[in-house]
Order: sequence, then C-alpha cells, then structure tokens
Amino acid sequence: MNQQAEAGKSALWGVGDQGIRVISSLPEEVRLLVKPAAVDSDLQTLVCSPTARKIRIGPQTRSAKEIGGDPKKLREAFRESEEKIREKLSGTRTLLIVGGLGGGLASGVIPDLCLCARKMKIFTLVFATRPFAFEGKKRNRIFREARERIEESGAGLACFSLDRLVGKVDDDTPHQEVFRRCDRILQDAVECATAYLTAPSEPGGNRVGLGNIFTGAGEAVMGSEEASGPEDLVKSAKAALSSLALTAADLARVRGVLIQIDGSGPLPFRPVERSIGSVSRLLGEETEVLYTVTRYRKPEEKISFRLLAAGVPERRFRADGSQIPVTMTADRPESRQEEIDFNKFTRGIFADDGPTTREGEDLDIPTFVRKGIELDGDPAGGG
Amino acid sequence: MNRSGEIIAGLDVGTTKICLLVAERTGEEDIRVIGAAIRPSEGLRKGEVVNVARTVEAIKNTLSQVENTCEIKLGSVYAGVTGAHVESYNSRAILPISNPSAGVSRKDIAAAVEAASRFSLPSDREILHVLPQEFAVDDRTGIVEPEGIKGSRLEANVHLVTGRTPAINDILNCVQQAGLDVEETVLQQLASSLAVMREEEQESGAVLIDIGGGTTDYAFFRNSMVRHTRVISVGGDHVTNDIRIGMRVLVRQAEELKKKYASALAERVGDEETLTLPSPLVPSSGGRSRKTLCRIVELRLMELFGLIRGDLEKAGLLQNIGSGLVLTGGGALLRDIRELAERETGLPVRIGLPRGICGLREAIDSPVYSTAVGLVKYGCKWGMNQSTLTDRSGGVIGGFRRWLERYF
Repeated sequence: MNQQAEAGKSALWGVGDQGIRVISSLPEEVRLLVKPAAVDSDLQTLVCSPTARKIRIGPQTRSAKEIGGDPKKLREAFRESEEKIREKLSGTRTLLIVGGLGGGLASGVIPDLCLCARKMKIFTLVFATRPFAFEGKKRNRIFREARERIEESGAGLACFSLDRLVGKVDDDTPHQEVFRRCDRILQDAVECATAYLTAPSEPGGNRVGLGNIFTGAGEAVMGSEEASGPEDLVKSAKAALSSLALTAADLARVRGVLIQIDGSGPLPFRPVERSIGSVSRLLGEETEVLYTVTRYRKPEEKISFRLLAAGVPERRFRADGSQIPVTMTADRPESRQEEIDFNKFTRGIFADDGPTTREGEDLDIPTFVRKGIELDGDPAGGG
Repeated sequence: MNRSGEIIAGLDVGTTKICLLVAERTGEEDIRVIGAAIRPSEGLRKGEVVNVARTVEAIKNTLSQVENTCEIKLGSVYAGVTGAHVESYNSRAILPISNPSAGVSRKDIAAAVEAASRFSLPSDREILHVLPQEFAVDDRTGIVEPEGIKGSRLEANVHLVTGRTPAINDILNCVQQAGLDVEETVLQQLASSLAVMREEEQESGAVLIDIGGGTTDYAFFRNSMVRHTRVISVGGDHVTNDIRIGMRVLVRQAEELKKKYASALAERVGDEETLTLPSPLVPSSGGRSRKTLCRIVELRLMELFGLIRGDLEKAGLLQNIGSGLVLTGGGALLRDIRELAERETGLPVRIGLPRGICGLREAIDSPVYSTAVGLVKYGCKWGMNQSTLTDRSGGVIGGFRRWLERYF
C-alpha cells in the first residue's frame, strides 16, 4: 500500500478549542497525509476553523461553553451525535485525536470517541495536554477521570503535563505565549506520529509498535530541535533529548521513543544513525525506539529532529508551583538555572561529538567510568 | 637563501598539533631537513576538520614560522590523512593471462591490479591508496613478483584504503586556503612507517602504531607489503579527557598532568606519591594520588591496546607478527607505554623515532615528527613534479606509482 492510499485511511480529529488550533496549524504536507477534522459543539468555533471537515457535537445544545466542565452533559452531547460520528469514521483504519483534557469539551468527548472508534476496530491514539496544577483540583480530577476512561477504551494516550513547562517560563513571558507552546508540543507530537504511521517504506506504519509504547504509558514528553545540515543532526538530537529534562534514571525507564527526522531531501545514513544512536544509547534495555525519516520540509527550511518519549515516570507538582522542576518545551527559552548535562559530565571534551562506538560502548566516555572502576576511593565517575 | 636541491615538505595536520617539515634533497639518498615547525591545532576533532577557520589559521602560522626560518617560499606539501572515516578493504581479481605460453606480462599484472581496485564504493567515498599485496598464478599462491611465471590465470590481491570525500576535501581546502597546494595525500600510518620502520621489520611482520591526539592509526606489514590498516578514533585527547574527569581539573591542567606525571604503569608509582592540583571544582583537591592519575591512563591504554590486539586477532594476523610492534606519534612519548604495550599484547615493542634523514636532528628526534618525516620521505622517493600531481586522484596514482615502480 502506498503512502497516499494509507493516508486516505488515517484521520486526525482536533477536539475542542486546543485540538482545533493544533490541526489548523499543521503544515500542508502533514494535512495531506491525514484527514483533519474539527470537532466541537460550538457552531461559531467550527465556522471560524480553517479546516474543511467540521463535525458538530450535540447540535441540540447551544454552545460548548454551556456544557464544558460537566462530564454528564458532554456525554449526552456525544450520544446525540454518535451515529453521525460512526458514519464519519467509516473506512478509517487509524484515528489520531488531539485536544486538551482540561475540563472542557475534549475531556468529556475524547474518551467516548475512543470507545466508539475502538468498537469499530480503529487503531486510536490520543495526544492530549494535562491542565496546569494551578488551574485547580477540579480540572485535574476531570483530567484523571478522562485519562482513565481513555486507557480503559484501549486507545493509546500520549499525555503532556503542562506543569513541565513552568520551569522554562520567564517572569515576563506572556500568558498567550505559554499556551502557544502547549499547542506546539501537541503539534510536534501529531506530526511525529503521522509521519511514522504514513511512512511510505512501512505501509500503515507499525501500529503494534506505536500501540506498545502509548497504551497505558502515562505521561509523555516532547522535544524538538533544528539542524542546519546533516552534520549537525547529532547536536540537535542531543539538544532535543536534553530539552526533555529527564534524568538518566528516567530515561532508562522510558517505555518507548518515537523519533522523526524531517528534511527537504534525502539524508545520508551516517548522520541519521549517529543522531538516533546518541539517543538510544542512553535509553533502557526495554525501551522501544521507533523512528522515521521524512522529506516534508521546504528546501530553505532546516532539518527538524523531533523526539517523543512515552511512558515517562510521572512527576507531581504542587499547586503553588514552588517545587516545579525545570522541564521541556519545543522551543524553550533560556534557562535561568543551568542544568547538569549528563553528556558533558561523562564525555567531557567530546560532549558535542558523535560517539566513538565499539561493541556497543562509547569510547569517548572515560574507561574507568564505563568499567565502573573506583579511583582513589571515589566511586566510578570521578567528579 | 639559494638552495641547490629539490625542496620537499610534509604537512601533518593533526588533532592536537600541526607539524610542517621542509627538507632539501641533494642526492638520491641525501635528504636534509632545513626547517621544522610545530604549532597547536584547534580546528580538528578525532582527525577530522570541525573548524575550517581555526585550522587554516594554524596551518598559516606553522607555514609562516618555517618560511621565516628557512627563508624560502613553499608552494606545495605532501599532506597526511587520518580520521574515523578512513576504511580499508582487501580486494582481489582474477584475470586470464594474455599469453600463457610466455607467462605473466607486466600488462597482465597491471590489468589484474586495476581490476582488483575497481571496488564498489558509496558515492561519498574515494580510494586513497591501492596497495598490491601478493599474486597467485593458477594454484601457486603467495607470489610477490609474478612476471614471467607461466600459467593460465593471474590473481591479484590488493589492499585498498578509502576515505570519505568530504572529510578529505576539508583537509585539502584548509591547506589550500593557507596558500599551499597539496602534492599528494598519504595515509598517516603509511607515512609514519616510512619514517620509523626498518626493512627487516616490514619483511618479517610488524605493526606500526601511530598514537596521535585524536586517533590511533596502525598498519600491519609482512613481506614488505601493507596487509592491514585501521584507524581507531581514540588518541591522546581521550587520555587527557579521562584525566580531566577523573582528577577534576581543567583540560589544560589534565594535559600538563599527562605530560609531567603520568605513567602507563600504575604499579611503578608509589602509593605515597601525591600531586598538588589547582582544581577549580574541588577546593581541597590538592594531594590527589599520582597512582590514581596513572591508573586512569593505564586503563585507557590497556583498552586501546586490547582493541588493536583484538582487531589483529580477528583478522588472523596476530600469529604473523614476527618482529613486534613499533609505537610512534605523540602518544609514544608517554612514560612506560612500551612496557604496557608489551604486557597487553604479549609482543615485543619498541618506540619508533624518525630515521634516514639528517639536518636539524635535535628538532625532529621525536616520535611526534614521524608522520611529517614520513611524508617528506614519501615525496623524496615517489614524488613527481607538482604539475602532474595536483589532481585529487594523486593518492591513487601514488599507490599505483609505488607499485608500478616496483615492477617496471
């Protein structure tokens, strides 16, 4: 099956305000691969959406704003439209759903949509954001309930905690800018998964592989960097990995990573191998690594390295934000406090170079560190 | 200053240093060094150019120093090539002998070698050297000079050294931007072997190991032919980096510790010997054990020699090493490295110093100059007029020329 044929059986539904914003801002090349559709109960929101396909939930109700935050009303609205939704999903093999599970329309509709799709034996993946802790306990409770229902439906879920953004936000960062970054995370994640699922070399993508890393996986994090050329790919891979702000222990426990390298033309094998290798060597033995190399970028654009890690150990945040750790975003601002770079610590002057690998070992890392040999009473690792 | 002989220069663009050697050939075997300069290199990593501007600047500085000393204007050099991109293969071809009753002709030999060197390479790679090994005529193998031997088919075995074109271009561009033409590019360990190895070593089987700043290059010789070449992207910089991390010091301090206090055999250092380290990270780091320093170095070098030994063993060459190992390059200056290499490989080891060249002896009497001396010797022995050697295939021509000279 070729890419176009496969693309014809893949659908991307943006649910609620955030979901619609994300699908509307996807590049044309990605939009052609899936059938984006805007899903909302609010007629005005749908009318304003540039997306061609629009699905109105619960036409009897007047506005999503009236039912948002009330799961019971949202489910009623979904039931009103279920038959129409089944029709729209007919013939679809893969359904990607994107939205914010922050207590609005998406929190109520997405779990039911997943259940409906799964009953139709459609492979379903949800990309969603979790509300900030400061937005209150009720929103977070609705989120947890929605997450449980999505997981019960058997759909895959990549859930991005917005609190991970807070540590990267400056005092003077505009409010809208933070939410723009939230959208960008979802957009990157959707592009990454779409590219993988519709890759021409792998008709239909490896749904089993994707299902394995996203089903019941819990939290996900997204990193994205750009490289000016193939020679910079390793550097951008490391920067993308670093932007996830995961500890070495977290990385070892990640369930799976999905990597997309997107350029404008064919890329040589070596830089691709080295860049992905620079990520995979830090992951655990059980971590699944899926990747795809695409050519959706324009010639004047840089090469993009996207890294989606799923099954990341969940972090807990206080509502007052006092102990929120430094975290990730797609295009993060300067950190106010430096992070310890694991690579710099172990690779020293070779931190920015591609690894010198022999039999699975990176020879740039000091021999005594790799062999776990204590020096002068110090544990291996020296400094 | 007037010079009566031919001027030949060898440029070793290394990861940690740029070394330029200028010699004058006044007779067949009379090569006299008239100028030498060595300057720090900052634009390379693991033998490959990562910063063109810095590399060009370093080459210019080195060139300027030599030109001022010798009062000459250099136009071209023989340049060394190394890096992880260098890969070698053994290839062979079998061709029918054109006139079986007359035996193998020179034309047959040339055709067989050329056929063996037609190796299918990726588009971004090119052949640096074609090094004929041995021949077989029908069932008779191990023939070094097949000319005149009667038979029906001739088999040629060659050792091909290839490099990644962009990496080679980077070196060439830097040299050219510094105002020099490149006569020919030569694999560094082959150049070093010309400087430090004896004929009987190459005959009976020996390995030349050139430990540089960014890479360790080695070549196995037997029956005076190159049988095996490899580049490992581990060199003196890795030792420095290990010390930097293990001793918690700056890079320049680690380099200083390596040169002044390090030994490749920790057992030779007393437990009571301490080092005072001005560490920027740990205020109380003064008084660290010298044995710790040496242990860090020993572990790295044990691993390096283990890798070389393993590679030679895998290639089935270990049992063919009759003479042993010859260590050269800046890494060979490390205290007790010879003993460590003997212990780790079980082979006799010697340190190789440049030989067969005179003039400025005190300046070049160090393994650091091996590659540059080898490049000069290569140029003296097999060099041709500049006008015929400015094209990129010079290396291949050189390999052929060396071989052709042997047989024609």
